[in-house]
Amino acid sequence: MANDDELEAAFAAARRRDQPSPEFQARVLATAQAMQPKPQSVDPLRRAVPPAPVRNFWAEVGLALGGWRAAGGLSAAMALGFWLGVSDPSGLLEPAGSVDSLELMPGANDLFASQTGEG
Amino acid sequence: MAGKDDQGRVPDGDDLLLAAYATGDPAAPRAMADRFTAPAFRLALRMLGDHAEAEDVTQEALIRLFGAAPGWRPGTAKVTSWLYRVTANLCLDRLRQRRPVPLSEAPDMPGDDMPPEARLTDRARSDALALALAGLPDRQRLAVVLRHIEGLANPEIAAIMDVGTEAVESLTARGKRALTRALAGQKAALGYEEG
Repeated sequence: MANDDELEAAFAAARRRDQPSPEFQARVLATAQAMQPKPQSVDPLRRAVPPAPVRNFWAEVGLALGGWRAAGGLSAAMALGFWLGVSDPSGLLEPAGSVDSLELMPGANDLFASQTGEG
Repeated sequence: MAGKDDQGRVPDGDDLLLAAYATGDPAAPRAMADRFTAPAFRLALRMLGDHAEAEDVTQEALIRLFGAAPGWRPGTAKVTSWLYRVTANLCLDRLRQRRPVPLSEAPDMPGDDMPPEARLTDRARSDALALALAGLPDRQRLAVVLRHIEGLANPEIAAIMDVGTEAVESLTARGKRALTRALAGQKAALGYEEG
């Protein structure tokens, strides 16, 4: 029967010999690299600049006109101009009554007549 | 998965290595491969007796370890105990489907700087041990390999095998007696002096 020392010598031989081959070690390393989680850090430039919001066409037009307040004023002016253009203009002068002639220089005729009489 | 002896332990270097791997440390994959491949491979080889199968099982066990790293809780299970347990279970699964084969085609490792005669003696002893181990029941062989080749303490083996310490002592004692008997007739061939 083998004694304890001899058995221990066999165990020691097994420990020395049972080593994975370099090729297998390389395969394990490749697997470890492929499975490793990626670092959590983010590119500082990408983090500093927030992504540009997506705008639609009318939003772009509104911004080009100076914002919603300016665009509202412009729309009101356009509507008034359109109404003035299509409506009957005669009614606009009614409050002033019917005018046959317009005296640009009141009293000018009398002045001219007196001067003519003296000469 | 960890046994009682694993609970509440102080995180060690293996825990830190897994944490470094999980956070993307570029040096961690090589350190992981260097640290954990050999123990898993030795156990798988002595359990299965076949290099190709041992590599398959080792690769599978390490893939599970790499996958477990991000969720690893330092200070709970000992990393090597966890790895031995996974490797052992994979080996036992394979052994249920076939009988182990003798370790007769073990290649010489490159870079072996032993004298040729000593290397031959080592190989003869290692092969004889593999043959003797192959004759043991699977769980007895597992206990003997963990105790006498991997050098683990009985409580750690008990946690890995999910049995009591007394059961481990019984398994290793019976296994060692069987190995001693199996090697008794080969003293001269194994380089032991007849006596």
